[in-house]
Amino acid sequence: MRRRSVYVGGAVAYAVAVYVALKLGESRAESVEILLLVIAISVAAGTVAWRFATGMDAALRETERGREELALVGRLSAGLSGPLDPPEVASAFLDGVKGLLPATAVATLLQYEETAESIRILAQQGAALPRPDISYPIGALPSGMRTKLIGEHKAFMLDDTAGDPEWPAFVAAIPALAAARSFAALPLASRSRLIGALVIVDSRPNGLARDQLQLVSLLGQYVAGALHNALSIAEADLRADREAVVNRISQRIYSNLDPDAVVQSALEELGAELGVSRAIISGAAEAELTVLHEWHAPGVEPVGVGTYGSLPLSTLAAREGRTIAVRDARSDARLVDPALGSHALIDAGTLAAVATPIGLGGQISGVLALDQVGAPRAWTSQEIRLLESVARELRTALEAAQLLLARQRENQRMLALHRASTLIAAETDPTDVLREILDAASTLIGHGSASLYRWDERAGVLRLAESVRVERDIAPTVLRAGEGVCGQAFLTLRPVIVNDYQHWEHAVPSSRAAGQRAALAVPLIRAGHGLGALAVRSTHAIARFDEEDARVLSLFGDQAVAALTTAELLDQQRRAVEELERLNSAKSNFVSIVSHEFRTPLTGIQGFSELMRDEDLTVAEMKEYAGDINKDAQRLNRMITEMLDLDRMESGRMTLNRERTDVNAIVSEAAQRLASSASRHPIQLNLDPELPLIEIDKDKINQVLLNLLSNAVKYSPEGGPIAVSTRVEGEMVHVFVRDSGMGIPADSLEKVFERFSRLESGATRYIQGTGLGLPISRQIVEMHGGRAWVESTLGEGSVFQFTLPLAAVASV
Amino acid sequence: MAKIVFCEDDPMIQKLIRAAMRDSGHEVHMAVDGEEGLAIVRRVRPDLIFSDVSMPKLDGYQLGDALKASPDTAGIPLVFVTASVQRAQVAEAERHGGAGVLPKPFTMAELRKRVADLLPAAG
Repeated sequence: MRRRSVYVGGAVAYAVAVYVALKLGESRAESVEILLLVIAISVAAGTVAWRFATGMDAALRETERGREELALVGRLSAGLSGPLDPPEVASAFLDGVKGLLPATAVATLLQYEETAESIRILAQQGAALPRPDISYPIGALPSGMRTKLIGEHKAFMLDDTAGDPEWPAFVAAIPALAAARSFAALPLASRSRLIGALVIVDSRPNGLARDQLQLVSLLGQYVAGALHNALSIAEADLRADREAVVNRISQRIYSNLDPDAVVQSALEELGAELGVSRAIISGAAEAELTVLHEWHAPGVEPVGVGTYGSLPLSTLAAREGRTIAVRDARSDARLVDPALGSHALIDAGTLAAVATPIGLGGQISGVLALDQVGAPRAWTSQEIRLLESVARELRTALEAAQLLLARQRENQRMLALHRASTLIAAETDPTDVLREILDAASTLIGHGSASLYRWDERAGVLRLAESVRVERDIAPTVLRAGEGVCGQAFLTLRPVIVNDYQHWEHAVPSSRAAGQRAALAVPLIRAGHGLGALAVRSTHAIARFDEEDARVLSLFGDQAVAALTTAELLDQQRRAVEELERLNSAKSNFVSIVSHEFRTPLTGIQGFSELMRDEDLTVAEMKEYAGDINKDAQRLNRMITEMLDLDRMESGRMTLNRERTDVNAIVSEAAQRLASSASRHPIQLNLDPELPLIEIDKDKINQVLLNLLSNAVKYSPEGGPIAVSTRVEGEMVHVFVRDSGMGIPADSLEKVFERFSRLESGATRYIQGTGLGLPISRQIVEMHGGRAWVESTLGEGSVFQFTLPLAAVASV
Repeated sequence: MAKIVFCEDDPMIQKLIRAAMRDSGHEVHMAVDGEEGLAIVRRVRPDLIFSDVSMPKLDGYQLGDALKASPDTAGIPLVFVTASVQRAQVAEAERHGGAGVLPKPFTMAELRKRVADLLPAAG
């Protein structure tokens, strides 16, 4: 208007100047001169006028814009001071700033929900209004935007979305953005808290000028403050509602002391209040969470108490120690980690869930989780806070209940210990006492079996002595030191607590395979020496043992040591009595033998001397009978010596004089000695040249060989061959003496090693038998740690044989 | 002349008995165990039998039972020679058909007297 009047005025002035110049000029040249002057003046004046006009125009425009902006701020203030409902506040703001944005732009106001880790649409202006109350997880935002907007509270802008690498994924998460080419997200912060964001998109690239957005951004502070107030009021209302629910739940909780009932009622209330499909409490075992309590809505398939390994979200919440909400498990990147467990529940339709850890005694003892089956669910901050409040209430209730249980358990333990002591004092059978101790230990500490292992010094292994409630394959009968919890407790003489048996390095493979999950063992110690170990163990997934359990089990262990000591004393007493009985019987046996067996040679001595005295004999006959008397006297002497030897060996009073000896040499020597006196029997030697020297009592083994060889000669027919061979077999030297006699019936193979067994018919005796040769031989070989026996085929002959260990072993 | 069977497994005692009986005028048969003794008794039908109690294969009591079981041999007097001469053993000997017990060690005079006592006077 102003500019047009200046132009019109200029044109009119110019026309007047031309006319005046034509009229005033007397000559054409003069007129031209005047015209030029007029034009010059006009141009100068026009220039001045134009300059003035434009300057005034800019000033006027500035004033007008300032007025407009003032009016906008005024309208905004008025608009924002009115409503208390956050969506209304948001709509008012969008209406207010509409004029500041390009006509093609679409603005959306989002609320940031920190607890739920999501953004929620409060209001949208322009085309394609989405469904109301829609929200998106923070995880769906491009990382650059998350850093700028949420991390730094700064604007995030894309001039052309086509060039941004993260854009396609963003559009996939929020399809409404498909048409946007320019994108701007402006933070709305109030009192350094991010309240939300104003997102502006335009279908044209570079469609959003930065100076335009600057003003919008400034104005955003108004709405941020207003929204903050509105949200705070809304939150306060909701908190009041939530408190009412929590109060209701805690009333239920505190009206009950049974922790199971407490938890069950809390889950029921919470599940019903929030309209979820399931509410689950899982327990924290070392490796995997296990469902301990479960509530489920009618018609929903329960997960099942005792299930473990399929709670990925609860596991994640326990691991991170905070609440985690998942709106759609199928697309949530946080659940991809396979270490979190099976996705079976998700595959079966549990699409949304939220889980919060329950702390107990300073550590996370479980997880409270809510499941939504069949559809994704955007968990609100309110719902999440309610869940957290209930988790806190549960923690307090569970702590109280656990304290009570612990006290009850302590009382029971003391009673059981007292009962075990009473049993020991009453001198009940030690085996019964051990069983009683194991039974009590298993009931009070374990959730499963209990076993007692004793160290077997000779074999160098732990042997299962007693067990109660043992499940299949879980308690092996023999353990090496260091193997399993008992082996470790025995080796270290310290309690061993294993709550992750499946992954424990010293686990016994069969116990691991049988599903053992937790085990506790204490060493059995007497006077500083390990006697064995006592263990309780469980296949139950949530079984855990702690220091307190170890302390109590140690008390049971002390009782077990006392019982074992009693048992040993009784055993010693019994053995002493048995030894006395054995000695007594040996004595009467000896007396009987002296009176019985000795009478045979005595008969000879008496008879021949009688003949010599009473008969008329030739000198030759006299000499012969005297020789016979001498033989029987010698036999009597041998019998006495061998009887005494055997007795000393059997009672362990004879020691071996071991020296490094070549068994082949003794065999050859004995064979030669026999051959010279019994040349009618060819003696064939088959000796192993590789036979090593071994530590034996040379004289005694020589005695064994002479016994066996003279037996072979005695029982082989005239001229029957005898074979002696030696060889190394495993860890033993093996000696064989083969005769060509008539053989020994199978039922008498052992009998020939008994004292004075009468199996032989004395027709071909070379040496007058004492009836003690074979028992003495066997005794000598066994003192060396070997074995002596006979194999025989009737009609073909017998093979008397014995073994001697290559490495000297203590006599047993 | 009577026939006497001795069952005795010890060669020294066998030799002693042979020496003691050498001039008795009786026919002496020697068996080394009960089995051989039974066979000889059945073959020679002796007038008197002496048997050791503890012998291989067939002991004295088993021999006594076997003899008693057969009417041909049941009537032959049988004397057990044993080191155990307590009352119980004597009773045991009687149960197995023994006509008495000759305790070890025995003198030659005792042996000869027992033979003389048990053989029919006509002998």
